Amino acid sequence: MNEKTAIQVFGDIKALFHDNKLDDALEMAELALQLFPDEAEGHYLCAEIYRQKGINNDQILGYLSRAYELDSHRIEYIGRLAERCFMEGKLDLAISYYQEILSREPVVWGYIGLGNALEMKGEFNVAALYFQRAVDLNPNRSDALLARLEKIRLKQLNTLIVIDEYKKLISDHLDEGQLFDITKLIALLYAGICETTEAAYFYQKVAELYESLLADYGVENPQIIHPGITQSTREGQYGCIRSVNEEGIRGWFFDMAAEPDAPVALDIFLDNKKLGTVVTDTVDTYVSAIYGVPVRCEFSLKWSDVCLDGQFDFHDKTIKHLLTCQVSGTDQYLLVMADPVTLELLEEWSKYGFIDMSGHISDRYESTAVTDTAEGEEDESVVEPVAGLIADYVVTKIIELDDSLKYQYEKIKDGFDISYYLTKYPEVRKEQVDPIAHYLTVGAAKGFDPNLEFESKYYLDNNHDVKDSGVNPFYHYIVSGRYEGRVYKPFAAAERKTLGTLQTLESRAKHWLSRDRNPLVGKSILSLLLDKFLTDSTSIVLSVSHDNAMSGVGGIQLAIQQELELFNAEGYLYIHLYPKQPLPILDLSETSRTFYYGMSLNGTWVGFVSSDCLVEVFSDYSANYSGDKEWLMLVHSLLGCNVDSLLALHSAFKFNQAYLWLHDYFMICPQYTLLRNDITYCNAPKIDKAGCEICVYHDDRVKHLAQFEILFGTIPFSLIAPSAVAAQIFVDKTTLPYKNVVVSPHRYLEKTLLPVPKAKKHPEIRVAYLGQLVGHKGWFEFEKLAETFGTSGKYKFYVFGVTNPEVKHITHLSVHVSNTDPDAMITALKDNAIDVVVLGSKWPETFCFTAHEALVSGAALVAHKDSGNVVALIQQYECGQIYDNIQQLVAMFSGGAVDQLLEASKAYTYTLKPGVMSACVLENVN
Amino acid sequence: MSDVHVYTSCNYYYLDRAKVLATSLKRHNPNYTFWLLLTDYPDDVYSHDWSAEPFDKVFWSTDLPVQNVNQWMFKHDVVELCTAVKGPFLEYLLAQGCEKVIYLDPDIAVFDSLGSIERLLDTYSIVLTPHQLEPESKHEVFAIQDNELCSSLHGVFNLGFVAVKNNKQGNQFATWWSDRLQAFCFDEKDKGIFVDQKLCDLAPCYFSELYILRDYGCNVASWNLGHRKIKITDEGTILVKNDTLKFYHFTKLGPIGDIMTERYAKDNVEVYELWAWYKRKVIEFKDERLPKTWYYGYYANGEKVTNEARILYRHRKDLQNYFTDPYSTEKDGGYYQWFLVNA
Repeated sequence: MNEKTAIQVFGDIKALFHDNKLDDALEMAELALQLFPDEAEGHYLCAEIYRQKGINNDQILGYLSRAYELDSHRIEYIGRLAERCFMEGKLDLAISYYQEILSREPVVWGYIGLGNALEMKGEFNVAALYFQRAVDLNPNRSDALLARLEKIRLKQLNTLIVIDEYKKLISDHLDEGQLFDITKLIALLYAGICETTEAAYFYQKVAELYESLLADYGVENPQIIHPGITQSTREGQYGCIRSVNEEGIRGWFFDMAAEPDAPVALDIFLDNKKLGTVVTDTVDTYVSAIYGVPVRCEFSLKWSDVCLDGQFDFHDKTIKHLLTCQVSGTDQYLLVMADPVTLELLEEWSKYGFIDMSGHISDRYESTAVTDTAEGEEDESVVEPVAGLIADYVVTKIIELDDSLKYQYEKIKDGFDISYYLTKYPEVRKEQVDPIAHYLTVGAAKGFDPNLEFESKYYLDNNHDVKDSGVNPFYHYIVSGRYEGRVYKPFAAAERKTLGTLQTLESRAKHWLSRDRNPLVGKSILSLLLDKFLTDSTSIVLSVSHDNAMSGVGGIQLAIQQELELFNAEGYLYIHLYPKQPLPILDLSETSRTFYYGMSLNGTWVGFVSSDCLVEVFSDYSANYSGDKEWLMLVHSLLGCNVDSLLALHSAFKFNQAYLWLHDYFMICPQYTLLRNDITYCNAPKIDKAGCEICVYHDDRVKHLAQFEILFGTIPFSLIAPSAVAAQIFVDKTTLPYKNVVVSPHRYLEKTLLPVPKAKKHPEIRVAYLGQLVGHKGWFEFEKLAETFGTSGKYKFYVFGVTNPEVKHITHLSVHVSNTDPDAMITALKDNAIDVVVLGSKWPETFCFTAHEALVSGAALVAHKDSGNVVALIQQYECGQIYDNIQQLVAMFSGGAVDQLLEASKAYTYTLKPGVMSACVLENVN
Repeated sequence: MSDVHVYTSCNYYYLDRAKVLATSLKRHNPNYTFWLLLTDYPDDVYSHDWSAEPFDKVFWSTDLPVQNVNQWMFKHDVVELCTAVKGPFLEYLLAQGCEKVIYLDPDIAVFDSLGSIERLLDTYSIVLTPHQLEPESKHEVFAIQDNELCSSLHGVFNLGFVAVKNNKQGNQFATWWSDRLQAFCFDEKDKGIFVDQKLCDLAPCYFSELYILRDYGCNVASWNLGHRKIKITDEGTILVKNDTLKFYHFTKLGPIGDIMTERYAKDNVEVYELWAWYKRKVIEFKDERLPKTWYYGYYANGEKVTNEARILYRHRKDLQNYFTDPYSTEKDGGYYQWFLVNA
């Protein structure tokens, strides 16, 4: 032995150890220790052998400590040491060793070990955090860990203790992202217990960190002025009002659960009095390790859009006014400016023509905020109204114009919209000056516009010769530019904005990936649950959709809820699955990854379950089952689903029949409304056509169709469409193999001839737009309609929906259809005696609940020619008019078409009957 | 099936665009051979794997059969040189026996088969596309300036496209064009020269077998958008008036291109869709590893060749005779040093 080197000796010991000759190994190891007392490996091997022998020998810890002391680089030495400390109850030591390990390498076992030690110490919250990291690092073996996490959460102590634990973490070696997450958690927790000062402090930190994170990505941001605190509320929404300056009020907020592309409307309040509403656009998303993908929006309320009308009292100079912000139509979210509104701030606002609107301004403010006119002089200084000025506006202050400007004044005055100018720029109204003179001397330089159409800044930016010459842009346009064909406003602005923000669905999906912390159901629990429901003869429906349909209120969700009742009544077990990770596309990840579904049984949410587990359990069941049963697969939506996992399920379940609903056109293109570049209905050309190629979703479509070919090639689907229109489009456009297509509407309309025609309640014709204010639903045409006929007296215009468009001549009424109030839209339309509903969808609606609701409420329809099932309804029931473009739409309202339509519709009433949608499946089965 | 060769000419800076051109061409015309004529230098830092690129063949302009090629190159700025090389390379391809040759600018993208052009070369020897196909209205002063007067100044035909048959007159055209480009390919509009383009106003007079292609789907660009409404049919075909869009010239990618496009496309959303697609594709092909400067814009000592130095050298025979390689700074600092001291 003496001749052998340490390495050889230890090799021999390991060989004995692996052959389980533990006594021999121990003898040799103890001898080796004497020969090579300074070799760490010897000490480590002794410890390993004792451990393997199951001897709880105090020496083990000694051996391991010595091994670590001699060679602190080997991670397995310190790992064993940490583990041993934990086993011997030396928790603080164990924790410090695990921290040491993790500072070198973020290993799953390290996080688990640390989590165990912390849990043992009662530090549940921090333990949970480390277990979460272990799960994040290795999601494939997360079942047990997630269950553990949930258990720990139940043990969590009160919020302040939890906050303390998070605070302790801040001293760790965290990267910026982790620090951001933890700080945000602390802020949220403080806000949750109404510790607003503390919350504000941490939100300030969050905001700073966010700026810093953005800066890392090259995004420059102005300095934060005011932090915000969340006073309510739903976890996951927060933000702040960050600046009040000459443009208006600006801020930002996160929504952890928002759809990245959906605009969010925010109401901004001062002392609970509404200043206005802003609609925000997503500006970016930030991938958080803990929360997944929050959507970040920025908002800005311009002073010109603020409506106060004397409702504020500013006499209290010490001020406790609160500037707050709330998601429109909800009460669950509130942002508050943390700093009280100071006197200085109010003075600052006064500069922007803000507080002068109050009409209750204290002495101090009056002197600064109103006009320079000294008292007593006012009456004398009243000048006669400028020709053409609006009736209630009196000019008190003269702007001197030289001859050149007087000449320009004469040239532009016919094209100048004084009413528009005074409405858009309230500071001009406040100054009580001639608006045209104001535009010529001050306004144009500030980028003010002389009317709705002409954009001063745009004109100068795009006509450098005019800009360089210093000529007033509108004057130039009137006397010269218009004859030269110069462009004075951006063309196709909305569409170009859309084009500028397009992203492939696959890249959008990356922002959706999150790591939630919900429990997984394993095989044993799933089997137990199923045993409760299943007998040898139970028939099963396995339904798949994109989200937890049992808690949703959308069309698909309601359809699934109906279906559940129907199948339960027939004695079926209704299993509903949806992808745990929601996505705007199919799950296209590599096949080896475990796929997880959310699951409910007969409407009761069970938890998350892996596809492998489902396959295993149901393979067993189907092997043992008798033949006297029906197993049906019913796919409502494939968003977020994984084709491989569906095929595996299909194979395990041994379905008698598989059905797939055509609620939208996802089977043809993942842009399931078939809007090319989110703008124009594309008619689903073949993928090799240039018209498809230039669409941002072309590559997504190619990938999806490849997946669908596999899916449809294996499962012989029968397809169910909610309308003949949807069925026809699918049949015409698909290249996929399928069994057959049936049409089964969600609802039927019943048209009844009234004994006496309906009497009209209002002299004017009431015209409404329903839902989201988006271009592809015809919002811009409706806006134009209201702009054209808003002052005619013949028509009144309404918007029913969540978002207030804040547009002249349009009345907004907030409507929120929900589970508890499914008829909210019908009621609102009836209550307001709406005569006509304009449905301007530019893509073929597959069903359109809204059109049905409108008809039941008694309104007639005016619809775009491409609106699919809406056009079909109009043709079937003769209940509306169809237009192709804005010119036709305007002509309908200026001519007699709408009057005729209303005359005809007076004679009929409509009722809604439930469709046989799911029954069509049962009929086939039976 | 004819033997069709398509080439484009650029330096590294336009390589992303050339890739969009190559991929879009091959997508709709998979049997054509695509040549990249590169006027830049195989950089040491960036050694390019050309086999991974969408070009069938890459040709370096220093390999062109031009006498004293360095001296010739020096006289040109980047636009002039990348244009000047088009002529000698056309001659080269014809000499190689290529049956039909089409040149396309690197900022063009192809959206359909070019079969109709290929067939035209069965009847004609040269095909050119005019900038304009319709006169402007007398009230559209801006359009007259932007389009008609601008075309008069820069050339009636847009030489972002030319197609040539390898026959007698095709070769005569190639020789004439190449000769002129080797001597006069400059941007000197006051002298009636505008790179390779203005000269070609004479081509219909010289060559009886030249065909003026009046296809609205060819060479669509901001200069003719005012008369070319674009729409996309239900079947996914992109139409310009009633012609299928064959190739679009995405000239001046950036704010200027946007302004000019907007001025004439107005509410024609499909034009903006084409641009959005093009911008996405250019970004997709962008290669940050490429050199950011043009090799032939610098002396051997790394100093930039100024316009003044270039133009002086262009016009002074004595300097050309003395400094046979004007890039070189070896002998007494070369032309670089001479210009510093004497000019």
